[in-house]
Amino acid sequence: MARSSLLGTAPVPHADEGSECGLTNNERKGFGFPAETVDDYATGVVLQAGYRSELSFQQPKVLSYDPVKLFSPFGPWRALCSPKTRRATVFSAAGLAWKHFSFFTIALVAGGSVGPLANQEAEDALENLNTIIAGGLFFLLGPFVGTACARMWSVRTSGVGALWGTVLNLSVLAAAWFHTGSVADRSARDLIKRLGLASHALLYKEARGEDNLDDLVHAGLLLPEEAQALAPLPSKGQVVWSWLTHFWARVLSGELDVTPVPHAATLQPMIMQKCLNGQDAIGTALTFANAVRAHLVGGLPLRSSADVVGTSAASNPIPTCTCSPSSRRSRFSSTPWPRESTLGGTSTTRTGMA
Amino acid sequence: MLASQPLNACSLIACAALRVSAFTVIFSGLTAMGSSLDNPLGDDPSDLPGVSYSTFIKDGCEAWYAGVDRAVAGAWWEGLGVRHSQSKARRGTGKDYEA
Repeated sequence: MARSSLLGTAPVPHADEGSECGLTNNERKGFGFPAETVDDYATGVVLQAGYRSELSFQQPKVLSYDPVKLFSPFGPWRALCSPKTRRATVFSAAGLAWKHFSFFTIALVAGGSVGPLANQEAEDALENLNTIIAGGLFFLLGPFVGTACARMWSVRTSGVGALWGTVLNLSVLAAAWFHTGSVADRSARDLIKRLGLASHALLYKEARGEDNLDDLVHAGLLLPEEAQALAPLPSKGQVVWSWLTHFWARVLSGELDVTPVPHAATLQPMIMQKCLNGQDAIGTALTFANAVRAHLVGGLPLRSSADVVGTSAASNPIPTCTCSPSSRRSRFSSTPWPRESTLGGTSTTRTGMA
Repeated sequence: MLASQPLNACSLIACAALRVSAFTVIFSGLTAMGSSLDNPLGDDPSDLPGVSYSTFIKDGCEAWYAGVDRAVAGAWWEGLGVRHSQSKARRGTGKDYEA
């Protein structure tokens, strides 16, 4: 059964209909589509259902949990026995069993071969060495994990949370100002919501190294011409905020047919600051994402920087976007303002945009 | 020597095995936590559920729109009055206050 998109207005092709991109039902579970949840009643954990994205399978992610159930006397054991919840623990780490077996084998061989030859003094020396290594290990790993947690929380609050709040702030202003029900007002509301959601989705896609925007086009978050314009550009999520900033500048200057904003000149700095907050939130999130591991080993930062440069140079220039064939020659000059016809505007302005 | 007794020897071996096991689990757990938190926008189960957040944002936007639309359509708070002439003069078209 075909699923409707999150915005409800975009045409969502069905795989059986021979669509251009041939999305399967599983691929209609990403950004732009309603989120599905999976409840684990035994542990009180609610997870976002997994789906396949462009590069990898997005595993079920923890949405919430019931602390009373999870930290009850048998809660941890239920979590370990539940396949759904165990995937969110460290026991799902790849190669954990093999690593344990390797460590045990090495310890057994070393102890069995050296142990009978060691005297009391050697045993004491080994004991001291063991204690020093254990202490040093956790002395190094403790700050590393603490830094990782702090940066994750920064991404959650200063990145995703700030972006979330900015989109909602602009939407509540749009709800208050563009309330006449005219075509221009409804289009303006939809534009703010759509581009806000698109910037949120692009933040995740950029952090995952995904360049293909077909799924966002089919979900109705991006128009084909928008995806075409974004395809060769870096920082796609922030480019969307430049569009939103441009949109608000035109609204506040009275160029569009939307309901005029009262005291526009006075409110302009506040609106512009909101737009900058949205752009800044994406930059903050991307700064912290993928930046923790470089501090584990001193030799990694330089090498990881080189990897990033090499990767971006190799993969970014020509992203694949089968639904929106690119045209490098006229990419910028021919990109129309999204749904400009419905927003209205003076003829002079439209000529200027073209 | 204590270890010469079979029971004590077994206890010592069990404690050593437990220690190796605990260190391995703790070390693996800490490194797995660091690796998992490395990119909170990635595909690990502990990463941020972006699709759900997207749904929450969309629901929030539509809630603001629907709330204002209901208030306008229902002509609530009529006792406050509407200054048609001043709003028209100040805003040019005055479309916003005519509805």
